[in-house]
Amino acid sequence: MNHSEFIKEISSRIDSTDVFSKQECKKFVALLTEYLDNDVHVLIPDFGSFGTEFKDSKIAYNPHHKAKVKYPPKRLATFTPAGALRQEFRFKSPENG
Amino acid sequence: MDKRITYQELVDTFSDTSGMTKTQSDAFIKAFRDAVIAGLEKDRKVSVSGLGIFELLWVEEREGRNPQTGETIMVEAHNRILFKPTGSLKSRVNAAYEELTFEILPDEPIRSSSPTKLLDEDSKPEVSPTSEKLDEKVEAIQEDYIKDNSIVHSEEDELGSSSIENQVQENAEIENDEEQTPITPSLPAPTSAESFKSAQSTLKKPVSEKRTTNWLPVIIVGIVSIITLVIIISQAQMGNKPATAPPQIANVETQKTESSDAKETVVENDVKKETTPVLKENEPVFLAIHQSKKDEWFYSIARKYYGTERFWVFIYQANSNILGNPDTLLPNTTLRIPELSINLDLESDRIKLAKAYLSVYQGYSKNNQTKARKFLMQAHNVHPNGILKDHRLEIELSDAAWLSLFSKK
Repeated sequence: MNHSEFIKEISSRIDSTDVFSKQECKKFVALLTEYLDNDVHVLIPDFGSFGTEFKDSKIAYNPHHKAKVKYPPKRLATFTPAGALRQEFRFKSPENG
Repeated sequence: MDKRITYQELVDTFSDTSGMTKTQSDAFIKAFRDAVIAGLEKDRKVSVSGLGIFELLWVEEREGRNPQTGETIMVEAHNRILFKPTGSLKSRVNAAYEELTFEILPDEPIRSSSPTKLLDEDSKPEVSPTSEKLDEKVEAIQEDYIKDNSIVHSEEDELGSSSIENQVQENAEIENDEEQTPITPSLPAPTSAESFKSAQSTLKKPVSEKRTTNWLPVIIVGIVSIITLVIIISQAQMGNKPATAPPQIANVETQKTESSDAKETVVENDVKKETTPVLKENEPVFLAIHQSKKDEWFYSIARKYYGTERFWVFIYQANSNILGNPDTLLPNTTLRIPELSINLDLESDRIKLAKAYLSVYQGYSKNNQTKARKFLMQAHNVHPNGILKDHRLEIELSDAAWLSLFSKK
């Protein structure tokens, strides 16, 4: 499902136009981004939580350079699905759908 | 700091930013959630612009291990919900660390197989016996010999006095032959010199071992110093030989061009030719041999020997057989500094400069094409139309084509 189909799905659920849904979706994504930028965890019930994770620097072997490389620390945006959502999709194989 | 906001706070903030009521904001957020779920059910993948991609990943059945008990268990095949943030979100979240890059660590030094042991307070290092301990050992040995000899002497008394005289003679020989620790007068002469020698040798062994081991590093250092001397002498000879001839060749060049002083120079050359060996015209003449220092480059070397940085290309040309990329001049590189007498009004000297630029071009051509072409252009400027004609084989096809465009213009 691409973004336009996603917007259509939203508009069908709230009975609005695609243009309105697209604008509101953009505002909501901007709000989420703002929260993540400030390292704030956002919880949406029955869906999951958006948050950030800090990964410390590490030393690992790089096969391209054929030498040990020290990687710098980084901060990642993460999504942890809710338990109910995980359970819902856990055993749905791609063949069965 | 782990900050969290509740769903209600999210709704309130969203309603403030979007201008909708709280119920409308709540409805929109729920619709957003349900649309993602529906997309995962339908296509197993949902793309939300500006946020990321939600995806279902099917993980096949595999054998796992219970980390607590260590038992092997079968993990069933299942779906995993993945979230891949967009590049803009990633860079925004990682803004504080984005400028950092990875660094390649140098090779670790080879560690010795047997680590050096630190001395504990309780453990005492093994030390060679001091003089006091040696004396104690000598005394112990002397006591042992006294005991042994008392038994022997008792046997000798039975035999007679002749054996004692023989023993005394033997002892006198032993004392004259060896440098041993002084024997107390009360100690009777030993019956067997060999046994006494062996006892003394056990005490001396550590000292003799130390003496032999000390020679090896001295021998190695001596060999290395001899080799270095040979190398220095040979290099000095290489530098000295041309120094004898420069005035002759310089005068030969001036003779060709200037006619006013020709007679004087011819006379001088005739005199010098008798004493100095004749060199070929094309053979380079070296002014000096220079050992490059750390962070030193051809500019500073040329300034030192020629008074100007411009002719650094001649130094590179003279040493192009040992040098690679002109940008990297390693420290402690021995460079031969050629003798220079350049007059750019003369075509022959311009050709020499063009050839020097060409050698630098060849040095750069493997690593840096832009710099290589820069020097190729300089060669062309100094010797127009001659570079492509006379040195076509030394120039790469692409660079020759590039140069030909400029030559036509």
